Amino acid sequence: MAQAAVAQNRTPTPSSKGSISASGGEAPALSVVDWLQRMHAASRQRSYSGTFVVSAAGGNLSSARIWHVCEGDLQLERVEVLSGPPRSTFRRNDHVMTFLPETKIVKSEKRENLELFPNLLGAPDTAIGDYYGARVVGKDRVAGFDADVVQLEPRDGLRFGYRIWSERRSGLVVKLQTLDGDNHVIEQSAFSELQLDAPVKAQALAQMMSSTAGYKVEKSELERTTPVKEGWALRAPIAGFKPVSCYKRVLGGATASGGPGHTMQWIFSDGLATVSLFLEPYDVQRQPREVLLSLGATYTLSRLLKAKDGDWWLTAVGEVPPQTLDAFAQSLVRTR
Amino acid sequence: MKQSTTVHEQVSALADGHLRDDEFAQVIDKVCNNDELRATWHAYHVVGDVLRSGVHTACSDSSRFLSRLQQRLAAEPSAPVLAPDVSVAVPALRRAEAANEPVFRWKLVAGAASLAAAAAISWNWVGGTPQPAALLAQQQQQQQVSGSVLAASGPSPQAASVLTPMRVVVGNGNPQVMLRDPRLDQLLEAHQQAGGASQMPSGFLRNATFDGPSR
Repeated sequence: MAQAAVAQNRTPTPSSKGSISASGGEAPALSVVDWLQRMHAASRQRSYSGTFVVSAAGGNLSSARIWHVCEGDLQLERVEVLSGPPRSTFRRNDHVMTFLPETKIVKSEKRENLELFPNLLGAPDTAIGDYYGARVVGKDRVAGFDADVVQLEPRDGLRFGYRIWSERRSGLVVKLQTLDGDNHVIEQSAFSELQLDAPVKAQALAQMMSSTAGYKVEKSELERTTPVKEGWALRAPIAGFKPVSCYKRVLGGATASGGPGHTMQWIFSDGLATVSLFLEPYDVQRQPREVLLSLGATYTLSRLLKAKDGDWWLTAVGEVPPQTLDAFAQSLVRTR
Repeated sequence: MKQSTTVHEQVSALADGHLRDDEFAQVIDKVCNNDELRATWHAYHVVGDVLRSGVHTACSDSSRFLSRLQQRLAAEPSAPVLAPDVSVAVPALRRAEAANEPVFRWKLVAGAASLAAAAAISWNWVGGTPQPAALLAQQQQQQQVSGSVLAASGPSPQAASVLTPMRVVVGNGNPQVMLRDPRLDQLLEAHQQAGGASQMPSGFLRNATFDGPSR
């Protein structure tokens, strides 16, 4: 079954032209890495504003108004959530400020991995191509723009597939669907309205971002660590997923059973999907339950791990099928 | 077994407001005369409520409600006019079109056996068989497919796995314990901060947009 899928994914597209700058005619036949690089470059280099809508399986809608501006190396972004509690997120390169007007709190954080394709920034790595195949499946129009529809098909059952609408001229992603193993759309996001090369003023955004008067600024506390130092390892790697980083953080303040609860977060990525393994000492008083939950394409699995030095609580979160989270949980071992 | 499945499917259709005329009256009759079926009917409405709103609407006394319904049924002159009248009496039926409208919230899809023993939450395999829950999940999946342009039935590499996700509905009066766990929200946020889906070029937008209503 899996082999059949691989064979299918490698079938060359009939519209092979090998040209990136196709402006009107056929969509270019590119590799996964080429497509991602093109889309990524577009999202960095273009200024735009628009309305962005995300929906989970079945039609839950969440929307936001977006402003994005590029000035040289500087990237500024403003995201104004239109549904649910009001929230404004500002981003200047990797610095993110989230304003919560109801609680008068600003969350300030540095996101190290933001907008980063680990495999694309350094020497081009073809690893993504080992786990996903790309093929152009058609043309479409999104928010008034002509787009190429590219399908990224996983080569195994450990990751989801994606269908991406890439704006014909710039490459900007204007619509994205996450697909499960049966090709069902489990999450979808798109611009319902978009203005490319919009006259967004960087100065104005920067000013709004620094207007924290009346707000309490909360900086997220993160401490770098290593799995070795924390006493954890994987018995066997999960195909395609490479460790990206490892942090220690304080979550939810002090625990009921004494002492601040430190949670280790070990992050893995296959270049598109990310998995976080959260590990903390099992809190008897909280008595968490072992569950598997889904939110759109994001799954969460929690499990009690018995080790020589006591009981541990694992929460695995990722935009991957539950099987993948289970594989991580099975492979995880205490090294002390 | 086959018989009971059919009856449960009928009750499901009744709860979804899909039955009309004679069939409607027949199933109503069955439900009214069978405690177990009445419990099933009630459970389906709880399922519907949870799927629609994420919040379980308490039904104080379903048998009293049903006996009133029966009185009204008896007062009606003939079967064909039952449907419109009763749909006025049962507000749930008027919401039938929205039966699959989902909630944007963590959904419990499967879990460990230990959970079944927990007091606050119980697996609600409506009617003792997993059939109805599976049916609901199926309906929802169909809805997803109809919304997508290019959905093809490709091979399913996950089919062989033990951990096939199943939709499980939380009942027993207190679903929010699980569905709105603030700690899980915290972990999700931490996951998104550290990369999350942001490796897709539109990931940041997605993360900033796609957020639970609980925060």
